[in-house]
Amino acid sequence: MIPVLACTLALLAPQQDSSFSLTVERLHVGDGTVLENATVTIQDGRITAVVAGGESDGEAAPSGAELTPGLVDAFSFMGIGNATLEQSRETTASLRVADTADLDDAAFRHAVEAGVTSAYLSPDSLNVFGGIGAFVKTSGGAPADLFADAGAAARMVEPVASLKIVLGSDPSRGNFTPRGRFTTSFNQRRPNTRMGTVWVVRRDFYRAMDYRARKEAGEALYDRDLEVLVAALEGRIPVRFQARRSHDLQTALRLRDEFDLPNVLLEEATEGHLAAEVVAAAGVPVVCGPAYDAVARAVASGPSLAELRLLVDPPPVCCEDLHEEFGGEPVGEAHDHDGDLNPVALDLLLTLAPRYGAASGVAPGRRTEGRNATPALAQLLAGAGVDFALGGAEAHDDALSEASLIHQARTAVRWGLPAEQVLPLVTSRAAELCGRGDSVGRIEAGYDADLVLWSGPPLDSASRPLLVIVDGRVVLDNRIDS
Amino acid sequence: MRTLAFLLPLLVAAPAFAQDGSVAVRAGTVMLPDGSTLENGTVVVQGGRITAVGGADLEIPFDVVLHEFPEGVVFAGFHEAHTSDGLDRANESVPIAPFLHVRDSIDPVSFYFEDELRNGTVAIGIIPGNDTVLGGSGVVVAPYGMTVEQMTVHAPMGQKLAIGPQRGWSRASQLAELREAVAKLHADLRVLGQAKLDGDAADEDQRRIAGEDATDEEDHDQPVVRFGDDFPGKDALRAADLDDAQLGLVRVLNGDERLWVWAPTATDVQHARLWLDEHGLTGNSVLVVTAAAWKAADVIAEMDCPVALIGGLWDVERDPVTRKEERHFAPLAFHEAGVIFSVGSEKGRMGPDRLGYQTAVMIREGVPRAAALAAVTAVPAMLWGADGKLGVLEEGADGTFVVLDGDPLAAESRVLHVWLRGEHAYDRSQDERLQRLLEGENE
Repeated sequence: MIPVLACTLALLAPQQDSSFSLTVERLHVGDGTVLENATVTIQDGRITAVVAGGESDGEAAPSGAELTPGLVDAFSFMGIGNATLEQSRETTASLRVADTADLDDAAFRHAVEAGVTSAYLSPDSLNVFGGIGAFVKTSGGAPADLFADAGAAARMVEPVASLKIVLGSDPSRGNFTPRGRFTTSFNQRRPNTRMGTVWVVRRDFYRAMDYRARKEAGEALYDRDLEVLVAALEGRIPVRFQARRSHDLQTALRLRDEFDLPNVLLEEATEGHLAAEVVAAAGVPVVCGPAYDAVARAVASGPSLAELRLLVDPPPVCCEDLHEEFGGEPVGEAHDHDGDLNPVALDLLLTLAPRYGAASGVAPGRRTEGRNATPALAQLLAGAGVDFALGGAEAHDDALSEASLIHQARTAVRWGLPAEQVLPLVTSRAAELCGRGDSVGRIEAGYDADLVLWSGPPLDSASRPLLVIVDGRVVLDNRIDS
Repeated sequence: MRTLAFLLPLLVAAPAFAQDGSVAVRAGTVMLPDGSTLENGTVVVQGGRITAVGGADLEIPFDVVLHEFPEGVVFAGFHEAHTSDGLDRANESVPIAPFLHVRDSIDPVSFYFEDELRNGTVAIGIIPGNDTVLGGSGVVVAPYGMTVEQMTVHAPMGQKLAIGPQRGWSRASQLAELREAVAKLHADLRVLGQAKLDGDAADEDQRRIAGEDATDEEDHDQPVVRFGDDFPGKDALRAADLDDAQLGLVRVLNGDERLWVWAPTATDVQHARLWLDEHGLTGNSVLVVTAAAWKAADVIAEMDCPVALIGGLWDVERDPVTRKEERHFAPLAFHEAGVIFSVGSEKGRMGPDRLGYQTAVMIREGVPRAAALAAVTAVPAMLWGADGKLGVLEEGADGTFVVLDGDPLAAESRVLHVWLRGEHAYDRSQDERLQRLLEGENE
């Protein structure tokens, strides 16, 4: 009934030429401006011209349809599977998401269906120095999957996009001294506390400074992690601090000043509204994580209770694979037989259930650090003058998720941010914060031809993508359906 | 942000909202039951019921206070057909529990009801959950009031019957339990009937021995068992002769109570069809399904049984070899098959937790606007047996409606006021908790 990916390309010959034009009633440039009756011309994967109000010579889009730049997900975990977390050390600055991301992952297809054409892929959050994130196009790559359509995989654009540093409780989650051992035992993983996490950040940046000095003196042996930290100190690679609580945000700003880090972003900022004035005064941009609901307990992209129940007590006729995910443990025992979930079992599941947040550290952290979250975050940040973009986080991992990036934008509208301010947060500003502001996120001559034609106003819940174009290539076409 | 300033002079000028169940509202747009709209429409409510719906020139009775919202939209409000939210726990751990009633579990001061009112939901069908065989009775409430009695807008709602297996049970065990319950009832009724006949005969003998005449007392109670084959003593059995579980099951098999039949998948729909046909209960049943039941849309249409769709709106299947996903939008499948369906919200996911969003998504995926709106207004009312009373803005219906500052399906529209049976139940400007959320003070 609903074709998931375009299988009607033969009917769309004009769009498959190296050059074509499309005329729409409303064209959102991506910076907040709207052009009426505009024609966009594409050649060899790039936008060559955008003309408003003139004579139309392009193929006419359906009446009422509106064109936006392809959405840019400035913070996501797409393609980051189960085994991406290197647990042997708390500092894994040199590990690259680009080396582990599965570009055939279904999340990229879900993203295309939701109008997302490029994305920043973040490392997991359980290490203090999490590694190096990547920037991809959600389509156009060569799939390794035997059964995938040509060009259906994501395409790596920038394997070294930014360094992730995690503050807050994620890196110390689950690290505790085993019974009967001293706290100094080597037989445990550090850090154990929030302050220990920051100590690791300080320790390693001081090591990096020392390394740089010794290297300049020709005395240092090559250290791959410290090389990355030196690049961060010199601003050659941006640093993204994951910080949810307001005091973690302030810690990030303190670290930035202490080490004079020239290129810093804040990630998630769940309590950004409680530190908004400080963040705005510091002029540090923010990439928000997923929106939280009105009771500030569930994350938009989290599993539903029904899904968790399925995990706790799967029906006997299916879901053996879920048992296997837990190493064959009898997860059914966790059920307390009272009709409700045992809270201990629930916590365990949230910790163990990586399929619900590709990054295994994310889901429980959001629970404990999201107590002061508000769905009105975007409106409050904007009101305080914070420079920010919206990210989808795990939004596109689940085929059933209603938390896609455009949904986050719609949530921002629902909770008070004017619509004209919202679209740049998922297009041009998102691209700029990912360091790709000169190639994606806008419909302008010279930019990549990443476009989404929506059936109506893009921030209306009743609108959906009719056409998704990545690098000038039609990757989704729902026009026949409608 | 859309300013509400245009409303302030009107609100300030208006006298305090009267609470005698009478009110008149004139608004820029009034949404009518057939999906059309009335520009500059007026709704008049007296004694809790709508007495007139008309244009700007509609005469307002002298004792009814008029409130005007020149840029507002009056809408019948969202109706949640089937849920177990608002209960402390959805199911008792007894599989055959027809004696349970949700009114003993509803917590009127739960935040759930407050949130629903804020989102423009005006009636909620609350019924025991699906982890049961025969689960208990439900009631339709408004998300407003300090007691369940104050909240109740329609009762009885019906009884929960689960064909789909409860957690930890196989489908075979589920149906075996149901079959056993009915078979045991049949056997027990025969024993009770015979005992009643024997008892009545003994009483008659006693009277004859004592030389008393037959009493003139008439038996006002009707025979309680009206289904199935005749057996000795069937007509003699009265409600007082049965225990609660027996009585509940008898009422179900008599067809006295509407059945809300949990049949989450297409397979379960087929089993439900067989069971309901066998007992002649199809005509008084609602199928409670998930999106996975879309494959049985034609079967459901043949059954002529309305559907309450709960949970997500899409069914997703993944090819085990290629891992490719195939999605099916269940509301569209039901609409195209001619099935009458309601759609519920999906708690735990922001967006789908509101019926306005679900309706917008239905329109996005191709369901006509009138059918999509009906799925959250008139159809739930019909499933409850409250047609014409709830879910519509027409003369004779309850004076229940919502005033918004835009299309109820648009993301940026806000619920400004809610009137329930003519009583003013919600005023956004007085919603302190919402203000705290908007200001970021959530704890």
